Amino acid sequence: MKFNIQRFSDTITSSDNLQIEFGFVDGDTRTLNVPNPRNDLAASDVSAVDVWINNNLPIIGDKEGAITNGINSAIIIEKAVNKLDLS
Amino acid sequence: MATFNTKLTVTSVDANSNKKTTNIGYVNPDVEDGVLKELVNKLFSLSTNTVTEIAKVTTENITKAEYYEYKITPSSASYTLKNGEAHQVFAFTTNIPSDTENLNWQRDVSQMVGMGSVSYDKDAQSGTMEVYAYNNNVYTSTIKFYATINGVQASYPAYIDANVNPTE
Repeated sequence: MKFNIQRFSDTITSSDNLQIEFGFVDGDTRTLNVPNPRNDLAASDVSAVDVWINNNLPIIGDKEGAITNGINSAIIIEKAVNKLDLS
Repeated sequence: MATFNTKLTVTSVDANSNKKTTNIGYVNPDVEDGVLKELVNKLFSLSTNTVTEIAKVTTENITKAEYYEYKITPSSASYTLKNGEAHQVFAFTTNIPSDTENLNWQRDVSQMVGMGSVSYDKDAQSGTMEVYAYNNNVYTSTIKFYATINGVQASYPAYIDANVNPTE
């Protein structure tokens, strides 16, 4: 399996993001955040999207317009916010 | 040199109806909208959010600042041209030194219009450029007019809009 889904968590969670890094043939990378990833999300789900992107090339590089060579990594980020007691 | 960035702005809502905007930058402008819509659907199939709106936004990015040593004044003009009638004359001045060698003039047109002669007095640093209508169609042609030295662009261009309208 190409992708390892990892979770990084803290005590109070306010929002989650699926952070997907795309690679391009010129060596550049770009990160896209998809909000609120599914709880049952599996690496195979990301692989399926990766295959579709490689077949359809819907995104391009921002420097040379280079085509993408797919998803490099996918990580679930759990954003934790701890409110400080200021009293 | 200008480039274009086509991006998708995706609005989605979570289970509590909280709106979230996600930008997908640099989508391929050569693929059909249906493919872009499917891209959004594929990505949001990984999310519990529901997509409510997809906007396709194209912006122009200036990626290279152009610098030239000399200027043409005025830097823009607009004329209405009647077919077959007398030329319009664009009168201009420059700051090009009078002893400049191999000075020439280049005109690039966005659509066909008639080009008359360019007259330029090096010592007076002033000249004229003629333009006239070419056919009976109604259209606007933008003329990019600039100086070259040894064949290389040496001045900022002046842009002249030639509004061809045989009925006016």
